[in-house]
Amino acid sequence: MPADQSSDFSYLAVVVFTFVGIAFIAFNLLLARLLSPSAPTPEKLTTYECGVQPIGDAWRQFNPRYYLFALLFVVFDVEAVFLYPWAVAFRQVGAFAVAEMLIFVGLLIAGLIFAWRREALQWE
Amino acid sequence: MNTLPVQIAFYSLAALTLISAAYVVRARSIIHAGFWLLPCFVGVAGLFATLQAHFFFVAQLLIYAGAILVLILFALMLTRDAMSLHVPLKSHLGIWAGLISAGLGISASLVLARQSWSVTTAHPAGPARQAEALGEALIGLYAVPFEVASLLLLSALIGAVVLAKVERAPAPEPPPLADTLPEPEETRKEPVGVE
Repeated sequence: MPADQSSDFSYLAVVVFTFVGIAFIAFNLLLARLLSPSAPTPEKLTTYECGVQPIGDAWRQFNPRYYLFALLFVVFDVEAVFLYPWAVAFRQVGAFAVAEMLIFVGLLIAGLIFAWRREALQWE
Repeated sequence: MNTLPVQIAFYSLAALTLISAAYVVRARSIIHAGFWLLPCFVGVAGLFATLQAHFFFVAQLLIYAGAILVLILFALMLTRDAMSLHVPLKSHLGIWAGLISAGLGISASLVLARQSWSVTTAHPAGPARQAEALGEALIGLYAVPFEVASLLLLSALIGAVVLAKVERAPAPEPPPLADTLPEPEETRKEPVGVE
């Protein structure tokens, strides 16, 4: 899409894509339902776990360390989103913009180094 | 852009957002409530799109539907008995929550009602110009809030590191996923997703 300065940006393609995506999956699920033979046995209905017999319940309490990695993901995702408008406006503003983004990213890198030094990133 | 398609899009997206938000509140299991947030976030992103706020559309999808939802679901996975329908989702703080929500709703409606909304015929800027204007605002006028956002993210990071370290120090009471003892046959869950 060319960067038009004033005209409206059409989301028609997004809408069409969304509905085609939904229709594609729905159609294929329906087709599989209609065409496939159904002969369920208890073995077939168990949860597939790489061929191993499933043990216990999938909904158990997970290791809290997963949360740290999810949070790291969110923090750097937010940072990446902030980088976009900064990069677009960078040419107009110049050196001050670089200094400001260095502080922004530097604080987060300090946090990452802190996590690294505390060995919070090690999985054991 | 035509007005009628935009209106149809607006009302259907608003309906999607509100209905899924109602399901978030009404869901019987907290995991289902978490998953109902996805259509809610996507609906809000679509509302940004109908306003021609392209950058917020992408950011809403990327941050909320992508990252925040994963974070919320991870947090729910850490809670005990998250999937159990027998754990009541009622809280003794219901009255306070109602009061705070009512206060927020009333003050927000007052602000919205007192604002004199002007109608403009000017078209919103194109995608590239919007991102550029936002970047200029972040560097110039809103430089301090921008850096404070970095501090906020840093504090969240440090807090998560500290919590993860504290959780490891006591006895490994919450068992990791892989090395758990087999449970009795009757607690085995019904297969999910097969009919």
